[in-house]
Amino acid sequence: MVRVKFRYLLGHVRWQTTTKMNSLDISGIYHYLKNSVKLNFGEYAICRLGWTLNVKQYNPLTGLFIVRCSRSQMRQVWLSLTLLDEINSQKCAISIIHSAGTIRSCNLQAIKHTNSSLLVAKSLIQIKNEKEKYQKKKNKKKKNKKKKNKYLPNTQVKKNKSKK
Amino acid sequence: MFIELDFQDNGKQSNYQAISTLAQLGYDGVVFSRTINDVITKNDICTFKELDLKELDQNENSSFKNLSSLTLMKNEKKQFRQYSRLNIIISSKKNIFLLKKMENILKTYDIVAVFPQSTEIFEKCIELPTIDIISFDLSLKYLIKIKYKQVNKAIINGLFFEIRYSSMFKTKQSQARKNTFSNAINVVKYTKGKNLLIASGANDPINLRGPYDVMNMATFFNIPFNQAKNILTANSESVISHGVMRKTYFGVIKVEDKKKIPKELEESTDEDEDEDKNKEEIEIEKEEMMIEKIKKPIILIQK
Repeated sequence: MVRVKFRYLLGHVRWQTTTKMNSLDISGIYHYLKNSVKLNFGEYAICRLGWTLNVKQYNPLTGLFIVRCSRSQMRQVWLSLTLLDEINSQKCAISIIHSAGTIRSCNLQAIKHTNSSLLVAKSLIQIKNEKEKYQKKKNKKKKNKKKKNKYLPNTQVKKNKSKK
Repeated sequence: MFIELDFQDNGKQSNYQAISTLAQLGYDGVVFSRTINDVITKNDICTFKELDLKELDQNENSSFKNLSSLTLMKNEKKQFRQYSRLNIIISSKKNIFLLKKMENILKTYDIVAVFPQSTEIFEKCIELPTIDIISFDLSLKYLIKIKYKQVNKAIINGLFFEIRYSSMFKTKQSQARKNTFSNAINVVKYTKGKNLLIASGANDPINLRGPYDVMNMATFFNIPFNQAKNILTANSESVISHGVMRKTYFGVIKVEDKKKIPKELEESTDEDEDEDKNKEEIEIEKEEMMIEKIKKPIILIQK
């Protein structure tokens, strides 16, 4: 049957200074988003969006949020998000990572986005430890260096186990 | 393979911040730029040095901002490329001859761009061989008068036209945002999407946007979807190759400094000496193996 279809946009907020914006809420983002759509595309665009415009999730620690809009107005909402400059008199920048038809696929992409940055933090510690171990092994190998002879046949030094 | 084509050079620390944000957004290369008004002198030689990304590991603590840049250093083959660029603003007819005369100074930069301020200057800039890009100041109210014939001549010679989107982020001056939209649509109309570039002439790394956001912005400039991705990937690399050919002597010979030779070619001389050493060591080891056999005879025990 006829069904209203939506698009869910996954976005990432980036601040100029690293002060913690604990006062920012879902309603705050909705208020600034609506103003930017009004500024760039006019009141007709807001009337066409209507009740479908909504902010579903927002995480102040990582800066990820999910926005819902109707399928025909996705590009206009996208542009109004990129042109958003100030929130609560602080400068910010928004970049959109993924657009999907369901919230579930957006959440899966959010997990991948944070995993890639967590892996780096873990792997850096591992890389440092591995490098130290590798350098220690190299220093030991140089003392007891035995090169293989390419020109001689395979000479196997047999070690016989003496049974008593 | 996205490359950011214009970012102003303000010292080491701002450049490090820019590289870390760009790697987080998904870019693979940067071009650092510098602006000049009218006159080119001998003091304008390129003093740009590539930044060592390995210093980021040692000096700064691993914060959330710089993590993405460190991912690139894990894969050492995939390096973050850096280039240099010059922007020249020309406002009088008398200074056009300097672009031909000061050829050796312009050859020290990777990319050279020109900002003509009138139609007469625009006509003469088309036939110059020492230029890569022609771009405009889009925040003004009235753009230069462009004609179809002149644009087609420039495309045959291999020049590129450019749009800059950093002037849209000045919220206190709302007139600048309106002018950039109307002027950018005008530029796209005359070029018909050929030999176009999109860049951001930004001072702060906050005014940078990701590549897919820029492609979405290009659809509102009446650029079709198919060309929008080609503009960011293929055209940006062809500009750099155009700059490389500009430095050569008619495309035949290229002269480089000794320091720019990669280390792999210098180390090849050492490998020849190692091969000579191996022969001597092999003879010594042969004797050692024989001696060991005598010292440790093989003993077999029958069950």
